[in-house]
Amino acid sequence: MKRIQRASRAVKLLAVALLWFYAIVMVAMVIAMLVSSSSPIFESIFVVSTYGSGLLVMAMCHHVARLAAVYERGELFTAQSVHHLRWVGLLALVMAVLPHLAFDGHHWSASVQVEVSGVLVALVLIFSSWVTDEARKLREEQDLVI
Amino acid sequence: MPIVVTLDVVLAQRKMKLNELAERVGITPQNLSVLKAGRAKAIRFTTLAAICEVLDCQPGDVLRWE
Repeated sequence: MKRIQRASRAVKLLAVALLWFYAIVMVAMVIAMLVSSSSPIFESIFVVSTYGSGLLVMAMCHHVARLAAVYERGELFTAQSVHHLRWVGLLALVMAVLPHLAFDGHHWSASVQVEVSGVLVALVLIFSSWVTDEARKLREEQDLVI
Repeated sequence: MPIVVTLDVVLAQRKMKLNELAERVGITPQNLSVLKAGRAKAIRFTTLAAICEVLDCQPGDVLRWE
């Protein structure tokens, strides 16, 4: 259990650091775009970020950090852990099927590329959240065995 | 649940407090309170035996089927 808590603390710190990194980068991109609005690079980065992938990663980092915080407290099978695990899975699924944007200097193009490995990982996460929910019910029932 | 816990009746007959029973049985007062309130899903034979030993009663005295 101590090892899980230590690992969870590390994962939480990593997720929070990544969350802040993405937040700072996105803010920096917005500022850069506002400063030099004619630059196609900044414009393209801004459009991609506002398209949602950056926000999706931030949301995922948020849920991973919250999940790790729950594990760090030693609460493995709780409603909160199920909730955050399910959200991580759902966000991973959305990211796996999200259309990719490309900019060739003149035109934008969008392509839908379903990442099979990403979809599989997302489905495993969603399945794990379901299993964790069943474990939570068993634990709650076990708590009522005197 | 058709099983009714009549622990409070036996405790009143023995003039014993819940905390004292919990201490003598070796379980937490919270768990004993859950049992007394009828919210427990199950009771271990070891717990039941300890309760019966402390209260000097039979399992049927603290459990009733309705």
